[in-house]
Amino acid sequence: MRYLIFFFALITSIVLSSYNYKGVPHHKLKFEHFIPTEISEPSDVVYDQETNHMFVVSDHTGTLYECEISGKVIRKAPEKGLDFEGVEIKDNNVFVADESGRKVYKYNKKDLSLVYTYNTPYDGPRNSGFESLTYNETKKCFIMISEKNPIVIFEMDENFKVLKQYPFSGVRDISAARWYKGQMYLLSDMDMSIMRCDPNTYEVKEEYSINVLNPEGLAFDKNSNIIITSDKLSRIYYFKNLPTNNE
Amino acid sequence: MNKLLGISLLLSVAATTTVSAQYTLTAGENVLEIKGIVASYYQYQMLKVGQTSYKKNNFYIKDAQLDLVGRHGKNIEFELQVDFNDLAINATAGAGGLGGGAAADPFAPGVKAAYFIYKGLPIQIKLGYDKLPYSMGSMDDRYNNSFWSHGYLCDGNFFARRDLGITLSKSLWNKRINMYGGVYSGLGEMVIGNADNDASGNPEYVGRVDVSYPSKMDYTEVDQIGVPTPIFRLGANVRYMNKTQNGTSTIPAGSEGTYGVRIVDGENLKYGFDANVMYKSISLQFESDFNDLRPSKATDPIFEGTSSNINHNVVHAGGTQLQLNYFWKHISSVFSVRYENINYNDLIVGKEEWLTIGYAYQLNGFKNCIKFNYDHPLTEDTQQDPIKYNARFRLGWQLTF
Repeated sequence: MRYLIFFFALITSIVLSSYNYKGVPHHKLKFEHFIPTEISEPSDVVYDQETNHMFVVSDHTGTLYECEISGKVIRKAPEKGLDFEGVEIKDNNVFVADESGRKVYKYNKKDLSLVYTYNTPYDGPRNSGFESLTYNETKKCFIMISEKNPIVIFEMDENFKVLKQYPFSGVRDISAARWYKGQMYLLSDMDMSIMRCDPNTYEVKEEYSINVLNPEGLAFDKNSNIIITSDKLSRIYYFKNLPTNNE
Repeated sequence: MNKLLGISLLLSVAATTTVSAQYTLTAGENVLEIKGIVASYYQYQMLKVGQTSYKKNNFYIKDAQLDLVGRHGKNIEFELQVDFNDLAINATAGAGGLGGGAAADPFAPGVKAAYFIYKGLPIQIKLGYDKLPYSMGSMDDRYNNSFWSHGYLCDGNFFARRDLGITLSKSLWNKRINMYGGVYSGLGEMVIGNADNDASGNPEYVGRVDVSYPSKMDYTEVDQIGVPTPIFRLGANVRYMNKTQNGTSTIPAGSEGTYGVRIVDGENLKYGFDANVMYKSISLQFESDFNDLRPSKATDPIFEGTSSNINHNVVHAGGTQLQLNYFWKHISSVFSVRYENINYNDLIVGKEEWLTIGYAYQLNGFKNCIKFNYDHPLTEDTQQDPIKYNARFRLGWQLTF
């Protein structure tokens, strides 16, 4: 019996020593509504201010889709990839990250024709590569983030050459990133949370829990409402804007 | 027992890093990922009164695996997985060998996967050696739970877990419905060492269907997400082979397994059902498996000398497994308990029941974790599976790279 007590004490001491409180403001968000989408396994979404449309990518079909804000698919890019996980609009182009293919595809936004393919080598696990893609207007560079094991934020130039790297911890994975109104927002699938980060240092300033299974895509519409795609459920979730004012 | 305590202290001090590294090479559309797993534990058995051999109280290498997974172009994927520990044990087994006379294990030949998949058709085709699409407990990845081993029902003594053959699969409804069908040698893991089939030359046919809702569900047992919506999966599978031997031929020696129910000279029908549900870090798995074995010869030892009036030319075996897991995110811990009830032969009085408690402390998920298991036989089948201990502890470290 004394052995079992010893083991219990040992395990308790180990697990309690690991408890980590982040110490940043934390909020809980509830979605307003969701819609099922015909897009299988939507893995990221970006909102187009110019057309009030969304661009959505699928890691199942390796395809870029343009949708109405209601989620209805308008058209899709003819040129497919393998494992599309991140999407961003810059100027008149749509950039798409192919995680396991280790590539970034540049599509013309007008006709969704393929303009250029960039190689973005990453030596880490095949399915834990670049799952996030956004443009950091604050620092004028692209951001790509390795999903997990380890999480590293890569700042990249317009040819997707690495400029600087920032290790990131505190969550188990990062599935999407979006720069919006001077803030960097990161989405964690496994921890079901959005983190508002400093766009220069990527230090977490605020955290928002979301009750969505397998959230993989993050966007903001023209009214700052949040759009989240659920990969496994093939749904698009709509939230009101964030409860606090950004710094 | 003091050794086990000392090892637990050493592990708690040593396992302080969050090591994890897999490596991926790309060349155009070709991708090769290099990964592996190293795991060792210390085992301590609390022997029954009268037992005097403590040789099983020792350190063991559980895994020493290298796994190459890749893609060739857009439509072909492949995997080659080898366990060097199994290779070494088999290479040095036998009298006079470095293995000290230990017998080779034909069911752990060292190769764990060697296959390729073609994805360019509406139906996916897999050719080669890999896990069979049969039994959730077998298909679930052992490395992603708090146990050191699969349950006794699914550890390969009841049915073969791997084999060489062809698997066709198709997913519907965003992968919520998955269907598998395949043809295999029927010898299971033994096909690697045996090379040829048995004298009947007949294959084994395996089929499985599973349905999950409201989303697709991976073959994993622990809810490390804390899913906000209950997710469940129901599965059913069946397999059949006729290994009736002609003339004086016999099935390959040892292929019948420890309890004689893996393969019999005759008709082998096996079927099972399973379920998995997850919600807010709690997960529950249930599985039942059944073997209906019809030996072709009345003198088959599996009949235990009974007449056909009693055995009706058939032997039934079956078992049930129930497992409950809880993932406590804030302390990076997984707590599991598993109950099993197995009857290896209905012509022999007795059954066995097991209770296994598992704990895993995650340094970096299951990629880098310490596992502690407590194994306790609740009911012993003294005729078919006499056990020398009252309880067994295993404490060790699992690291994937």
